[in-house]
Amino acid sequence: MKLEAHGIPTATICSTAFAGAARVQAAGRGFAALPIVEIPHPMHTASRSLVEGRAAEAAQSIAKALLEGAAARGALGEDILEDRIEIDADPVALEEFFFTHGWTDGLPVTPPTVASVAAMLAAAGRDPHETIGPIPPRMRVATIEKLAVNAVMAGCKPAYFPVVLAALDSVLDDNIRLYGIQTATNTSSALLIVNGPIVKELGLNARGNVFGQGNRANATIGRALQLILRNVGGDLPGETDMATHGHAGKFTFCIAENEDESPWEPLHVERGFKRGDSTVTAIGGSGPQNVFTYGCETGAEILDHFVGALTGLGHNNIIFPTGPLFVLSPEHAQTLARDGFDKQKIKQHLFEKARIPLTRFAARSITGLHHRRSRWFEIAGDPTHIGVADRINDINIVVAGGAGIHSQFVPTSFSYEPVTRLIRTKAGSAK
Amino acid sequence: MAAITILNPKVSQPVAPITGATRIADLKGAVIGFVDNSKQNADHFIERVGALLRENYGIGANVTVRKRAPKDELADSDLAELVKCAAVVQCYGD
Repeated sequence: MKLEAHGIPTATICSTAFAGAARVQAAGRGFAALPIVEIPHPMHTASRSLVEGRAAEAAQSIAKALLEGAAARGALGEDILEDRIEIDADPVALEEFFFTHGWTDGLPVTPPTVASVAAMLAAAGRDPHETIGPIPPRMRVATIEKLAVNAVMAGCKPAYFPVVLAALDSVLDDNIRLYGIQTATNTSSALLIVNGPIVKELGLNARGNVFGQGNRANATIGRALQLILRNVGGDLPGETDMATHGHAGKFTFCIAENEDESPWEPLHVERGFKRGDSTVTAIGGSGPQNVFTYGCETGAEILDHFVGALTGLGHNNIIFPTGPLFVLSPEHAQTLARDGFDKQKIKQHLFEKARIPLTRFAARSITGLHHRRSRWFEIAGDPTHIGVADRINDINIVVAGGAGIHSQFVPTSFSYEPVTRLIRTKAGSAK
Repeated sequence: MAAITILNPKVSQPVAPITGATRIADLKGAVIGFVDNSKQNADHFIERVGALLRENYGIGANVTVRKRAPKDELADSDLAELVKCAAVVQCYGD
């Protein structure tokens, strides 16, 4: 669309599986007449002769699109309701109303009453008419009040709202690449990591089952962000969200760092904040992969398992230059610290050892890696392997979880780097 | 049961319609740009389409730019190359 705005006519090629999503996204940005030429799906796994055959079939349509364009399609059938709706208070009927109008993520929500939204707004101390955005994928702008409505629906307490606002601010940073996270086939969602005194103040869980269910603050802060992306950003599965599988983190994906049981400085301090600051850090992530270090007694043995998890084929940190995230259990962190490994030594070890020989890849994969991971080949000095991060400090380490010999490898994706934001409380001060 | 007032969580913003570019009058001799978004086989597809547009419609030179990753925005330097073209083919969503 940028090219069309520059006066250059275009034709956009889409396989049949994604043409509908392309039309919805183009219409959402005001260009319902984007000339799209459809080709059969899939193309990725098609043989070269099949690709050339499809090119031959499409050539005439491409010429026509450049010469004639495409007919404008009708406006999207959006469900437009008033900002304030008077409705029967029957709880069953209310839930049906929410589901019918597509306001939820598939789970029941809390009714956003005038009083509950006012309480949410009061906790943030922000002008309800202040605007935030644009929020992808449909690039819509929201007022603080609109965000508060979604936080209420997610089940947040008012005190959580400043964290939700900081989280939204973090994911809207260009380095997060939120549009890619939302719209790709890849199984990604924005992971939130909360640090600082606010973890205890709000009762966020940093310990056992940290990625799991059972804690209101973790569950609803992460869910509020996702509801905002859905109801304001317009991110809808099958329309804009084309994830092949998705993952549970698309409901909610929020953890806190277990700073009390970590032998090292916490993530936000490592990223330049004070220990007494409260922050939220975002990064695009797939579902966590468990690293179970059965039988390992030393830091070196634990690291061998981490390297093993990183050197399997197919995870996102082979293709994306983002750098992996490790969420270490306190037990692993303390064993590593006991054996002389600090965060930097762990990163160094993973950077040097977690490399996959290019001989394990097909020829076209190697060509693709040289393109997508070109920075690795420019700076790493190891042309026969691919590493899981271009630079040592692209690897991130957080301590969270409870007792046990498990850590989590979170393959990251799309984001150029994590983004950390201060959480600002009602008085306007950073906590 | 009594009625309550609830607030709508959605945003309904009329989007200013974008008017597409004026279409090209003739492909003969036209410089056509291609965007390879780095999806697998986009390079082969573009190579064949470019050849066919030349054989069948007489287009002039091809200019191809390749994005680092499919979801990346066009780099400014690539955009600067493409706006010199008469038309652009973007490949592809798959």
